Amino acid sequence: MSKEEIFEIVKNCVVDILPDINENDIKITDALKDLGANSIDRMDVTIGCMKALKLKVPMIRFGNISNIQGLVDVLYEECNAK
Amino acid sequence: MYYMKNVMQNKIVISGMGVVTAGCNNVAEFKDSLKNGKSGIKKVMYADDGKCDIKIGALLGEYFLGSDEFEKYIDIDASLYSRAKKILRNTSLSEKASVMTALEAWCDAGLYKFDIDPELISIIVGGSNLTKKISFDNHDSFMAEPCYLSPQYAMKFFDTNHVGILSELLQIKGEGFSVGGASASGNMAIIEAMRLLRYGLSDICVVVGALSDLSLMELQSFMNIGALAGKKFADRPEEACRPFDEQHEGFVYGQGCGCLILETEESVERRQGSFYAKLLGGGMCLDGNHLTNPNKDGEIKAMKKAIDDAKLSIEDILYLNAHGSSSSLGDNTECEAIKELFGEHLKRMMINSTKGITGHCLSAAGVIEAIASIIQMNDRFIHDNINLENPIDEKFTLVRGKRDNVDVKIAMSNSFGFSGINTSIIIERNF
Repeated sequence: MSKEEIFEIVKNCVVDILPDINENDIKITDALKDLGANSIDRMDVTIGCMKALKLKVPMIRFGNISNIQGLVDVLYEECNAK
Repeated sequence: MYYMKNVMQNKIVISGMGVVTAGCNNVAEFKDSLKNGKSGIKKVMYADDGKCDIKIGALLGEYFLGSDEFEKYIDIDASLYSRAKKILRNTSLSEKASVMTALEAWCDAGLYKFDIDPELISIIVGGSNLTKKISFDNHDSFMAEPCYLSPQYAMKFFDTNHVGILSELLQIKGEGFSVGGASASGNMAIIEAMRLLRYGLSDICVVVGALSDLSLMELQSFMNIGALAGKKFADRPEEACRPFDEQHEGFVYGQGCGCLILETEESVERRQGSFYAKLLGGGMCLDGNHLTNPNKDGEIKAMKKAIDDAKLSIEDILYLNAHGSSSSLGDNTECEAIKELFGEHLKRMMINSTKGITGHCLSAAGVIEAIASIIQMNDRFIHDNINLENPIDEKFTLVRGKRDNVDVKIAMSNSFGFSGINTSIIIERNF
């Protein structure tokens, strides 16, 4: 799966958790926090992505990411490591 | 200590009200349903292939979920509206009901207009095990893949998430907690708030009787323990809840939530606010019994304690909003308790049960019925005991048909819960 495809999945998960956000307004450089996601929302987005991608990744892997790009990168690595 | 000087000194008033029940999204609609004796009980469909015995209930349903009731707050207080919008983005049914009733009560009291020290405002949420349905709904997917469980669940299964949500919504920074007393939780929350205000620990307390969002498992357990109606009147659901009628056969599950703003008289005077009623007193006691059966002596004691606390005598009580859940043993016991306590004075009293209209809203019942009592006293009517055809006791002075132009100054409202928890409160209208 390409990073572009994973970014699409992340966007879907963001909109599920933050319904006020327009999917087309989400940029890969955005931080979830700046989109209005609180700490629990951010974990919900991450777990939503893992579920959509059928991945099981320890949450610690997402500890140091600062924006959606970071999330996409980790998910991409895990997808391709399967 | 400072507050000990003020013990029992502060008079408590009710300065705001908010409510949702099946078919009613606010106090005005609730008032209409009381006046019209309109039951919110209907046939309900659960996705259980008909295996469970739960066929009727008073659920909030689409009328509440599809309501644009919330939108009016944008014109009242934009920052309150925006906080509420953020919170409502991701709330359970029970939390949404708490937010909606708290918004109504808070704005009704006009509290958004005042700069009140947030540390002098508290929150008490009545109810425990409020989100059983969320656990139930998540069970299968959790067993399949535990790691995909939503992290939100860690907050949502705590009843105190209601406290957190309301404190964020209303920017309240005094005390906050939830109290559990089964079906008496609402009255218990009111009584605890009254004590907090009397002690001078807060000026204002937001009291919520929260919606018990039960799953089919809890409802079936009520059926199996013999507490739930729905057998004789399965095809006529609006007739199934019949407190104090010979054909009563159990309670009907109702979804609902109520919020009262309790305030010291001094606080409401300071801000030149108005109020609906005074909370004169309350009483609570236990039966020393963990089972579901009620106890006449415990019920008498709770009512007596409330009367003593309010510094009244039994002759002052003209209207009684009974617990009256429509369960056979519960109704009979309460009837006997009221007859014994009030004796000859009973002839002058009017008694009804709001549960015929709302179903049994469990944790929320006490707050919803306090609101019903205030509405009736202030609007000078007493609502009908709907479905009452053959009273279990002709001497028990149940209202037959709506009574208009009544002059009731003081109301008593009972709530009794499983595990022998008895509560009663006394409210006085404000004119």
